[in-house]
Amino acid sequence: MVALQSIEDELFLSKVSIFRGHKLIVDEISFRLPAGGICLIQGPNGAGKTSLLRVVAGFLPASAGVLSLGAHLFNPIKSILPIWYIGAPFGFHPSLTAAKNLSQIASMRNLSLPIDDSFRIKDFADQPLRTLSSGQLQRLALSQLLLRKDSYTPDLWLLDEPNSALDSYHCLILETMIEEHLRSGGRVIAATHQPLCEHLSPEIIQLEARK
Amino acid sequence: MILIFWEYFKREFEISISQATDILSQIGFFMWIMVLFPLALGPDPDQLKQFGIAIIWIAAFVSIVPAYERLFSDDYTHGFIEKALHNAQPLGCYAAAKCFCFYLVTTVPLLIILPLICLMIGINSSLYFEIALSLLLGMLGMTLLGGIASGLVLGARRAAILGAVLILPLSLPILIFGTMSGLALMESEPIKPHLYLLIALDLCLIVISIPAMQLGLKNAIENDS
Repeated sequence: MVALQSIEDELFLSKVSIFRGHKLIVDEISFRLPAGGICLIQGPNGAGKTSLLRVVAGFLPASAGVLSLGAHLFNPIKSILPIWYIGAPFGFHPSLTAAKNLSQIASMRNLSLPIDDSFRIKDFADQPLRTLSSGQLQRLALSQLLLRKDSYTPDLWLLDEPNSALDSYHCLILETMIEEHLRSGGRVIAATHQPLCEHLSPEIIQLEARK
Repeated sequence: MILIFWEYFKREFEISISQATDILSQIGFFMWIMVLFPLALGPDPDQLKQFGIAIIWIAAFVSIVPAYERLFSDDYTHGFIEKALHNAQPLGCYAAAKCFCFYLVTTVPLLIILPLICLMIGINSSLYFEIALSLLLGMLGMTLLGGIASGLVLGARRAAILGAVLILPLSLPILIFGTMSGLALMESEPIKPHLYLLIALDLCLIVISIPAMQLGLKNAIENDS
């Protein structure tokens, strides 16, 4: 009798290495992420932070190593664990308005629009996306995480530099949002240069730059 | 599955409407090729009638082929394909919706100006519906071929011309059966056999193209990251 995979199981990256061409970027990184856990990937430019996130997201196959959820292999594309990858480019179409872009994403994932407008999307909802500043774009991207569904599932958030263009007010909003998400059993992996959620003492994965 | 297909389709349609100039310029290109041929061949009505159908098909192909490059490239650079990868349905659903919408917004305008073209090269307007039907079938196959090629060359340098070089040889069966249906029409022979062959080609392409596009898109994402 095989135990069924549960959404609450621990996510485990075991000795994940990534090659780009012949160059080793990420060398045997391992970490565990239980439900309600947060993990920050840090390191200088070119250390492979985004690549590692993209491996967890399933965009890039790991050159070596295993991803597992509980006792089973973790396939991000067909996983029972819903994934949100928030990193530039954000997947919005520049000639549609901000509101239109958000509502399209919502209907594609069968979600409904958030009631509370924490990231103040209303300020620029009717502007075509190409007229938005990078901070506004980031706010729009992060507000995807606020889309609601009928029954709650503890999603996995993969955030690539989530606060790089945010002002201090919205940084605070983001931290509160992450805190709430973790409290309800969600998980967060973030690649960042700036401090994020330090009061939650996240697990830190330090990547080194390779020559 | 159908629901999300419809959502993708709606998104595509909204984007196409907001970028209507793309479609208009492509139709303008088609018109101009059609204008150039009579100027080069001379105004002899019999000769025009003889070559007319072939010219329509070639002009339709040549005007549409450069457009296939933008089929996936916008969504690719904006990161939408990655987003679609995390949706509940496979990428093939997205690719199919995209091709279907592209097919509609490029072929319908073509059919709208077709009566004018028929008039210009002296094809009897009573044949319009048969010609339109064969074009409708032919362009569906072309769009699916375009989708495969566009998925394959995604992220490559000079993708537009590379895609065109890939598509045109593969489009030969469609061109042959398409023009043969037109010639049969001109000589008042039955065109049904040719149309059935076009339908058969389309059905084969539907089966092949969706997984092929899905693989192409996945491959492009892997190479990008």
